[in-house]
Amino acid sequence: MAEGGPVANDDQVKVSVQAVGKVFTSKARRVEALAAIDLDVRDGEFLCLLGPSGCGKTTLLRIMAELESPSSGRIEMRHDDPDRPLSSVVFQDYSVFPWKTIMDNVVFPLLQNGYRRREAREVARHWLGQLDLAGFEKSFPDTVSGGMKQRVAIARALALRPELLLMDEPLAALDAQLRLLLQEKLLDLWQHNQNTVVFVTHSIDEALLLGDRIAVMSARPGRIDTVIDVPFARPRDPDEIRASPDFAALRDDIWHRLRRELQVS
Amino acid sequence: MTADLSQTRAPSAAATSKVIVPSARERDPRGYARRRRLLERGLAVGVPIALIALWQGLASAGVAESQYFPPPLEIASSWGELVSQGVYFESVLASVQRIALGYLFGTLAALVIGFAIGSSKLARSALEPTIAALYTVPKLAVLPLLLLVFGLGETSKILLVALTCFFVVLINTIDSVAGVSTKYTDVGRSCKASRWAVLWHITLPAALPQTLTGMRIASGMAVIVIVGAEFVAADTGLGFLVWNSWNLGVPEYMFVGIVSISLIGVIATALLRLVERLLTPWNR
Ligand SMILES: Nc1ncnc2c1ncn2[C@@H]1O[C@H](COP(=O)(O)OP(=O)(O)O)[C@@H](O)[C@H]1O
Ligand SMILES: [Mg+2]
Repeated sequence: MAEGGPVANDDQVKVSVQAVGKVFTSKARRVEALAAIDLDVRDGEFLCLLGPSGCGKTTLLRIMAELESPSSGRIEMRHDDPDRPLSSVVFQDYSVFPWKTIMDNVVFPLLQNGYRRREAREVARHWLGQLDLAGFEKSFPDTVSGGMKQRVAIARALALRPELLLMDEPLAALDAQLRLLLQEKLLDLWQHNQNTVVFVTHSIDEALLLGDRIAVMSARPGRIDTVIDVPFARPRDPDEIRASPDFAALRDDIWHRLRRELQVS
Repeated sequence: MTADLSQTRAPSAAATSKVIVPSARERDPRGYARRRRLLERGLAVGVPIALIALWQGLASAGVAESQYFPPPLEIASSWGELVSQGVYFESVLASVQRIALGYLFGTLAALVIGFAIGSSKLARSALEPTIAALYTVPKLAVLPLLLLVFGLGETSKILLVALTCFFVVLINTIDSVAGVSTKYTDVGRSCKASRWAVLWHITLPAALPQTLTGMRIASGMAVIVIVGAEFVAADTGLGFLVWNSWNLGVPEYMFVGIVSISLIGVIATALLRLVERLLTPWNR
C-alpha cells in the first residue's frame, strides 16, 4: 500500500538487529521475552515499535541502549559523530530524579558528556523552553504534574542531541488532550532535528501519526510480525492525517493484525 | 401504584435541604494555617508544662511521696545549686563530649563502610549475616570488655557510643543504598555517567532520606548508652550524677540529671531533623 521503499542498503542502516533473543531467568521462572528479532533501523528515520503489552518492546529498547545484554544474536550500531552521544533514552516511568531541580535533571547528563556547567545550563534552558517548561527550572519534580515530569524526561534525552533517540512509551501516562499536544510537539521537534528515533508505543494512532515505519511485534515471545511503511508526507499535519482515508485503512489493517496476536496468546 | 409514586415524589413536611459552602478553613486558608500552627506549638510546649504543674500540685497536696518524687520547684532550686557549684556544667560537658565524639566517629565510619557494602551485592552477601549478628548484641554488654582493653579513661566510653551508632547507621545505610531503584541508576548508565558520578549524583541522594533516619535514631541511642556507661564506669557526666545522687540519697539531684539527659536527647533529635531538612529539600 505504501511507497514500499527501497531495500535499505548498508550505509542507510543505523541499527541492525540480527536474530536477537532475550531470556530472563529468575529463581524458578524462565521467561523468553524476545525470540530472534530481525530489524533494521534506517538512518534518520522515525521507527515505531508497536505491540501488545508484555511483548518485549521495553526489553528490545533496553538492549539497544546497552542496559540489558542480549541472550543471543547481535546488534550493529553505527556511530557517525564522535562529538555526539550515540543514544539517549526516555524511560517508560519517567525516571526523573526527585532530588534534583528540573534544571539539574537536564544538566546532569550533559555534564557527564563533557559539557561545561555554563554551557550545559544554556542548553538545558533551551530544551526546557522547547518543551514549555520555562519558569519551572528551579522546581523539584515532585511539585509539578505527571505530564510536566514526562516533558522533563524528554528534554533530558533531547538535550544530549543523540544520534539515536530511544523512547519507551513516553506519552502513555498522559491524558488524551495532553497526549495530542505532545505528539504534535514531538513531531515538530523531530522534523527540525532529524535524528534517528525508535519510539515504543501501544497506540496505533500514535504510531501512524509519528512513524516513518511501524514495526508490529507479536506477543510473547516477542517477534517482529511485520514492518509497515507509513505513506504520509512530511511535514505532517496531525489533523489532516487523522482525517485521511489512508489513516483509517492502515489503522484497521494494523488493528486486525494485533487482534490476531491477542487471540493467539 | 401511581398514588404511591406521587407520594414518594412529593416533598414531605420533614424534608430539609442541604447546602454545601466553603468551610471556615477554605475561606481563610492562611489564617487557618497560622492558627493551626500556633495551636500545635502551644500544645507542644503546653502539655509538658501542664504535666509539671500537675506534679507540683500533687506533691504540694501531699498525694505524691515527696521523698521519692520531689516537687518540680524543689528540683529547680537543686538545679540552681548544682549550677552554682560548677558540678552541673562539668557533668553536661563530660556527657556531651562523649556523645558527640562517639557519634561522629561511629556515624562517619558507618556511612563510608555502609555505602561501600550497600553498592556491592557480593559484599552484602559476605557481610550482612555477620553485621546482623553483631547488631543485636546489646552494646552495653560489651562495656566490660572495652574497659578491660582500654581502661577506665575516656576511650572506652567514646568507643562504646561509637559502636552503638556504628551498627544502627551501618544497617540503615546498607539498606538504603541497596534499595536505590535501578530506574534511577539506569538513567546514569544510559548517559554513560562514570561510576563515581552515579554514586554521587544518584545513589547518594536516593539513599539519603533513609540514611538520615538511621542517623537520627542513632543519636537517641547514643544518649541512652552513655548514661549506662557513666553509671558504672565514670566519675563525671550526667549518668554519674544520677547514680551518685542515689548513693548520696539526694533524689532532687537525681531528677536534675534525668531531666538534663532527656533534654540532650531532645536537642540532638531536633538538630538532626534540621540537618534532614537542609540536606533533603526535595522531601518537603
Ligand atoms: N528483568 C526482568 N526479569 C524477568 N522478566 C522480565 C524482566 N523484564 C521483562 N521481563 C518479562 O519480559 C516480557 C517482556 O517485557 P517488556 O519488554 O517489559 O514488555 P513490553 O515493554 O512490551 O510491555 C514480560 O513478560 C516481562 O514479564
Ligand atoms: Mg514496556
